[in-house]
Amino acid sequence: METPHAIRGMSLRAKLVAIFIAIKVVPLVLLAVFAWSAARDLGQLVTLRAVSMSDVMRDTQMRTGQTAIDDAIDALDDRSREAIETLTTATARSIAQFLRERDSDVRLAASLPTDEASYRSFMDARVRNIEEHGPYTLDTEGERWVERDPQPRELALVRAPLPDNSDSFHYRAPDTHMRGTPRPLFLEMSFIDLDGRERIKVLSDTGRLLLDAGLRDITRRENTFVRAETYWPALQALRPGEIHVSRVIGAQVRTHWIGDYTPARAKALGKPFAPEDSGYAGLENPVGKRFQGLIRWATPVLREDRIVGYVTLALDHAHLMAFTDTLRPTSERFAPIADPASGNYAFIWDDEGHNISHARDYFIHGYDPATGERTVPWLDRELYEAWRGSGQSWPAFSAALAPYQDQRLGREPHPESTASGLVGLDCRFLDFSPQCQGWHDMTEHGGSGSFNILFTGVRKLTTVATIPYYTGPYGRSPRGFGYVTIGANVEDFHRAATESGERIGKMIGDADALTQQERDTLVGDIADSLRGTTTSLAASTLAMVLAVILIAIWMANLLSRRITQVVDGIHRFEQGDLDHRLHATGGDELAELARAFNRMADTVQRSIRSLEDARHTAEQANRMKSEFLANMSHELRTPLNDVIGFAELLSMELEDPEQRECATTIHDSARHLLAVVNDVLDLAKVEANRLTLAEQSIDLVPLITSVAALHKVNAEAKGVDLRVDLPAHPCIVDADPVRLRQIIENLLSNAVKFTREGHILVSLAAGADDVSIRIADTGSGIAREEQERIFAPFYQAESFLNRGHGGTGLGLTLSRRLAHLMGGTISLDSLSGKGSTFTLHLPRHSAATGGGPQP
Amino acid sequence: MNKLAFIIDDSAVNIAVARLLLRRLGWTVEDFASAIPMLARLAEVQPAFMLLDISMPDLGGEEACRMIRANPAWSGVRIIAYTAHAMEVERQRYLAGGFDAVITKPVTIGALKDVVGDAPNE
Repeated sequence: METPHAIRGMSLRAKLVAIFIAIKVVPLVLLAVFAWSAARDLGQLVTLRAVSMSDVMRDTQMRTGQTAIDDAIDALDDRSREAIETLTTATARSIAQFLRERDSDVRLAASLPTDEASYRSFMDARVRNIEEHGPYTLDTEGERWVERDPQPRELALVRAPLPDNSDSFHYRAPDTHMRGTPRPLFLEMSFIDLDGRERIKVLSDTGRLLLDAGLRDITRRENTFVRAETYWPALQALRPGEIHVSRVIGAQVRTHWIGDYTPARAKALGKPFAPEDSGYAGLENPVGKRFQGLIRWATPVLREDRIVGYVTLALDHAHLMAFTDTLRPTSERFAPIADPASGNYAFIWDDEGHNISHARDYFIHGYDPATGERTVPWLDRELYEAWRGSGQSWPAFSAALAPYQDQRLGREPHPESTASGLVGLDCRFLDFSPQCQGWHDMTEHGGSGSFNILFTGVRKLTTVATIPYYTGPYGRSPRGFGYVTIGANVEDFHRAATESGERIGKMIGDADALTQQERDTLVGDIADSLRGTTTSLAASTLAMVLAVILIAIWMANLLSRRITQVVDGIHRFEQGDLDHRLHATGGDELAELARAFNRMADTVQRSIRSLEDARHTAEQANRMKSEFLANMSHELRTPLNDVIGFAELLSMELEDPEQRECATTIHDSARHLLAVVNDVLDLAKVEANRLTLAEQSIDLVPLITSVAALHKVNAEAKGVDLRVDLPAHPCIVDADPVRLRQIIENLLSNAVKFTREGHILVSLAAGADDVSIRIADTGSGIAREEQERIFAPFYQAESFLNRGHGGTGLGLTLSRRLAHLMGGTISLDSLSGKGSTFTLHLPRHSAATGGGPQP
Repeated sequence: MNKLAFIIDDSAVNIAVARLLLRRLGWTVEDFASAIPMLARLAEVQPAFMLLDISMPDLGGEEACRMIRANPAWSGVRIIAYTAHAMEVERQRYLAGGFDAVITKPVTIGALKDVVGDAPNE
């Protein structure tokens, strides 16, 4: 497998660090990540559980609280409902009882002697207390009605007489504010003959205020109370012992408006403030006109089992009203004055559904005293429009009308109907008040009951109980005389429960807020803890990673430092610090390596020192040799100057040929000596690498020609033919012309010197990159074993001793050295006795072996 | 015309050779065994040229040349090194040091004639 380049390029230390990090840091980080992940999961789980637990707790609390409240409300409502139902039926029964007592009265009356005195005495004995409130007046602000002479309430408290009775001891103060006033039960007592004429009529004090004292023909309606009584036919139909009971007869009371009768309200409605002219309405208008009505009882008067006439008793309607006027379906139980606005009050309805007792007197359905007919009742928009559209009188219109048609809460009274002031309630046609049909249905079989209804924005319990009175015409249906209804605000019954519900709700809310807070705190704590865990985990991981990295670097340093030291030491040694040695302690491989290196370094250092010494010695020797040669040259030239100079002068001055020959010989010998000195000097220079070549481009053809011409004279003097074979065109080479001429002269002079007969041929062969100058002679030749030795200094072949040749013994040696210096060679091809051929090979462009051209 | 030539050399024989050769070329020669009297004499009379040896015991030729070249009044004098130092490097050094030419010993009439020529005719 090939190692990646990046890893190969790393240093040993880096690799070691990388390995340490790989085997320590990676598992460490993984562990930290696992730990963090586990902690986070745990935190999330706990958070989730805590949230769901608190949610369940809160839900349970709320449901428990709501259930308790609902149960309490239901229980209270049930109890209240039962209490009010009881009150309703009790009231109905009381009324029935009261009415039956009037049956007894009329029977008793029938047995009385038919004279005024008996009737008067009967009437005077029939008195009943009625609880009436005192006079009311507007308060100083004129905003509400208050008692003019308020009676101080009895504030005495009764405490539990014994500890045994103190548990849930409730005391109720006496109703001292209720004033009982004796009031005649009947308005009128009359005896009517068989012709329908009143024969006797006795009026009570209250009756005198309403009724005419004159004796009249009651067969005619206009002679009856508010022209509305039509009892004559019923009387005629009575058999002995039978009783006729009329409806509630009375003039319809009008009202200016419905509700509080105050100056402010009058102003708001733009109507004059005249409360006395408007209908009475309890606390809403305590000074208004009261409904004044009667119920007439009649029964035949018998004489000897024969009907001789009829006695009638007109019950003051106020006594019927007294059953409900002061009734309060609240903890007050009774009140001096009805408060219609409160919604807690009782009504009485007759068997047909006409209201016959109401806190607002104008709601009692009466008659129009002008016609004696029923007034038009309060109607909803639809029915009112229909009636107005018909153009008929109300009695005529209503006679053909089906009762209880589509009564529902969505309807509303016609404003004109309300504004007319005629707002008597006729349950049959009170279409925006569906409880009417509820009562009607509930009393169908003479029973009682209750239901809730949301009326004018208030949830009301409404109870109804049949008045079980079935005398006369009231015996036609199980509904009897009619029914009592009581309305009560449901909210009032269970206000305590609602209030405690609110308290419980608030407690639950507080508990919920607390739970929520606890939960939030818990979640926050978990988050904090997780955050803390994360931070500390990250910090400790980071610290451990840093520690691991530091340890890794330290260990890698420890391991690699010694290797690095060895490498550094070798580098330093390599760069010339030969005295540097490695620190070798211990017995491991690295120490052994260091010791081996040190041994090698010792050896190398010794060798280098000896080499340096040797070189130094050689350089010194060479310098001394050069100096010696230079000095020798100088010291030889000085006397040679004299010798040559004087020999030259002598040869010029002397006349005698023999003497002149001597001078010439001296001159030639000195010249030879000078040549030897020059050659020695040149050779020394070459060997000392001090000879420099002055290279330039030269044409070999004229050079060789001139040299050959110089030697041609000597050659021909010996009878040797010196021939030249040169190309016709120039042959250019880069060379030092002086030294090249020196080589050619040497070779040519040798050839002339050692050739006794025959010829010498100088030829030039020009190649592309090199040239060859060949000098071939027909001389004695050189034996093979001599061929290398002739290039050694001061060696000459057999004829060397012949000084006549004039050689210095250094020519070939110097020539070959010079040829080498020029990048060329001199080769010899010879056979003993067959002549020699010297060939000078030269590159056309020298490789500058002897140094560059000098100026 | 100036036909005067100075020869300065510590070797009397070397002076004799040069003097004879110059005379043959027609020059009038004054010679000195040392450069010091030559410099004194130079204040009196300036030759056309001088042959000045290099290696002399009391004042070397190169130092003497430098002193002569330091005086502008003597700028007309050709100074020719007359020496047995035959190395090329030395020749180059003399020429760079103010010498006009170099004649290497042993001298020949041909070499002299090449450098100084025949003395001018009157």
